[in-house]
Amino acid sequence: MAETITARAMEKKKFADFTRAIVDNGYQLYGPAIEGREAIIAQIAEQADVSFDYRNFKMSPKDLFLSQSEVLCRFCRGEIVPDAAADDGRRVLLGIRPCDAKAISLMDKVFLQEPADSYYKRKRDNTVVISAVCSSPEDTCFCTSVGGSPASTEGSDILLTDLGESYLLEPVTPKGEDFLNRFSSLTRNASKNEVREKERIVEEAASRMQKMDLEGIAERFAKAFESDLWDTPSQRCLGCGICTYFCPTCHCFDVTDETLHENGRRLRTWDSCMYSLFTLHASGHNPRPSQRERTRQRFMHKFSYSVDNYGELFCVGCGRCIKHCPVNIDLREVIAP
Amino acid sequence: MKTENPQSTIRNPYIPYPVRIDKITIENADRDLKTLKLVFLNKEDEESFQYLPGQFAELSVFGKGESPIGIASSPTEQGFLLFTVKRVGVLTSDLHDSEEGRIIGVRGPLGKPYPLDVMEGKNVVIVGGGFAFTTLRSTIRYILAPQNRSRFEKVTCIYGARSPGELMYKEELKEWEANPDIDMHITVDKGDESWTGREGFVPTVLKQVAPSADNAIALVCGPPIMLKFTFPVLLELDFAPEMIVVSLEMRMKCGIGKCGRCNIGNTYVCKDGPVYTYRQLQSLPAEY
Repeated sequence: MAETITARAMEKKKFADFTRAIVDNGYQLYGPAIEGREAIIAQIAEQADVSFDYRNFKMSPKDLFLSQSEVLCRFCRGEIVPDAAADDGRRVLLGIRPCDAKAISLMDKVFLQEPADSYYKRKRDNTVVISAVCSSPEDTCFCTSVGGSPASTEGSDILLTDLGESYLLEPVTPKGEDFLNRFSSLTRNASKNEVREKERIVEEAASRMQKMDLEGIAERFAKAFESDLWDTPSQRCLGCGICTYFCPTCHCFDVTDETLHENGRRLRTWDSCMYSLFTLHASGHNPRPSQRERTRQRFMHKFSYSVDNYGELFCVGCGRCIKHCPVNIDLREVIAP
Repeated sequence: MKTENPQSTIRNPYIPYPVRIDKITIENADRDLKTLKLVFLNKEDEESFQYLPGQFAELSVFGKGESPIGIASSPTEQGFLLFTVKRVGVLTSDLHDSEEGRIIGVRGPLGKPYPLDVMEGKNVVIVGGGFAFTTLRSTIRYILAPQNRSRFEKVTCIYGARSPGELMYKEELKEWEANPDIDMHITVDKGDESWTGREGFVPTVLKQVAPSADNAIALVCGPPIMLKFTFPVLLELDFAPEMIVVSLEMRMKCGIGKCGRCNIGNTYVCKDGPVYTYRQLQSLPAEY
C-alpha cells in the first residue's frame, strides 16, 4: 500500500521540463545517449530528447564513481601540492538499469567501508540515481538468478518505469524522495492502474530470463577450489581482461605515479585480476602464476569470497562479460549448478 | 586479533604523512638492506600514527610509487619509525639511493598486529629468518621494554641468516644475547673463519632448542622455504595450529582492502593480515 501512496507519475510530455528543471537546479545530468549503434550514459543537455527504449548501456556507469583513471594527488619535487578544487558538482544519473544500480550498492560495500574511500564517497554523496525498469532483457541477461530483478531498487534513489504514455517515479531513498519533492509541480500521484501496469511489465521481463538456482554457490565454489571446474574457462581465456572492464562490480585498481620534469601526479586506474602482473611480487614470485589461478580468482571473488565478506554475490547478471568475451566464455556455464 | 585499524574516518586514506629520513644504516655485508630512521614533519601526524608490532606501512616516494614494508621500530621507541628495506625494485632502489634529510611519505599504520592480547601471560617463541626479522625486532623491543616485560613469560628467539654478514641489527643482537630477559639462539646457514657461533638452518636449530609448547605461542617470520620446514617442527613440538602465528607478504597497492589484489581466499593480507595463525592458513587456499 505504501508504494501506491508514494509513487508519482509524470506525463511524457512533461519530461523535457523535468530534465530542464534538473539542469536549472544546478545538477549535471547524465542520461542515455547514442554512440554508433549503442546506448551509452553521457552528460546530456537539458533539451535532450530522452527515451528509455535501449536495452542497457554498453558500459556500466561504474566509471562515474570509480573513474577509469583518476588523480589521487599531485606533487612537485617529491612533495605533495594542493590540488585544484575537486569537482564536487551534484549529479543526476538518469536511466541506468536496475542491475547496474545494484552494482553501485555492491561497490558501496567496498568503498564506503572504513576507512572510506574519499574519492568514491564524494561522488556517491553528490549523485542522485534514477534507474529505469528493464522491460526488454537481452539474451545474456540473468539478473533474476543472482538475486536481482528487472525492477530491483538497490542502489537507486528513484525507480522510473516507462508506461507508454507516462512515467512512474517511485522514490526509494529519502534522498530520492527529497529530489522528487523539489519537482512536485511536474508530477502527480500515480494511479493504481499505473502501478499495476509496472508490475505487469516487470513480470513479463523477468519471465524472459532463464533462472538458475545458485543457492549455496559460495560453498560449492569453495569446495571446488582444486577441481577441474576452472579447466575449460581458463584454457580458453586469453587474459585480455575485458570481462573485468565491462563488469559493473569489478573494482580492482592500480596506483601509479606519473612525472614530467619536477611535477607529477599519483593516479589510480582500473586494473584486472586477469593479468599476471596483478599479483607479481618484486622478488619474482607470483602467487597466481597461470591463467588457471587468475580465472579461478575472478569467479571465487564474485561468487564465494564476496558472500563470505559482504553476504552478497558480486555479480548482478548484466551479462556484459558474456557479450564481450572474445573467446565466448559464458559465465553462466561456469556458475550453473 | 581484533585490533581496530586506528585510521581516522575523516582523513583521506591515500595521502601519506610527510617524514624526513633522519638516518640510514646499512644492515648487511651485501649492502642491500638499509634501515631508514624516519621522523614525522608534523607532531599531529606522529600522534595519529599509533601502531603495534606486526603492522606495516606504505613507504611513499612521489614519482616512484609506494611499497608496503613492515614497521621495524617498536611503539615503545618514541620519536621515530624504523623500516628495514631490501633493494629489489624501482621504489626500494630509490630509497637505497636516498641521502639523509630527504623527505618521503609514510601511509599507515596498516594491517593487524601480532596478537599481543593472546601473547600476554604466555611464553613467547620468536622464529625469524633473513630480512623478514623486522617486525620481530619490533616485537622483541616491545616485550623487553620495562613497562611491558612483566606482561609476558619466557621469551625465546631463534634467528638465522645465510651468513654472519647477513645478520641484521648486530649491535642489538649482542645486547639481547647478554640480556637475561630473552633467550637468544642466533644461527647462520654457513659461518666464515671469524664466526664462532652456531651453524645450521633455522628449523634445525628450532628442533635442537626445542622450546616447550606449554603455555607458549610461536611467532614465525621468514622466507617461504623456512616457513615450510618450520611449521612441521613446531607441530612436532606440540604447538597448536592456532598458537603458531605467521606474517605474510603480498603485492599491495591501497593497503586498506579496496584495490583487490592481495587476497588469500576470502581474506585481504593488507587488512585481515599480514598476521595469520597457522590454523587460518590451513583453511585458506595456498595462494601466497
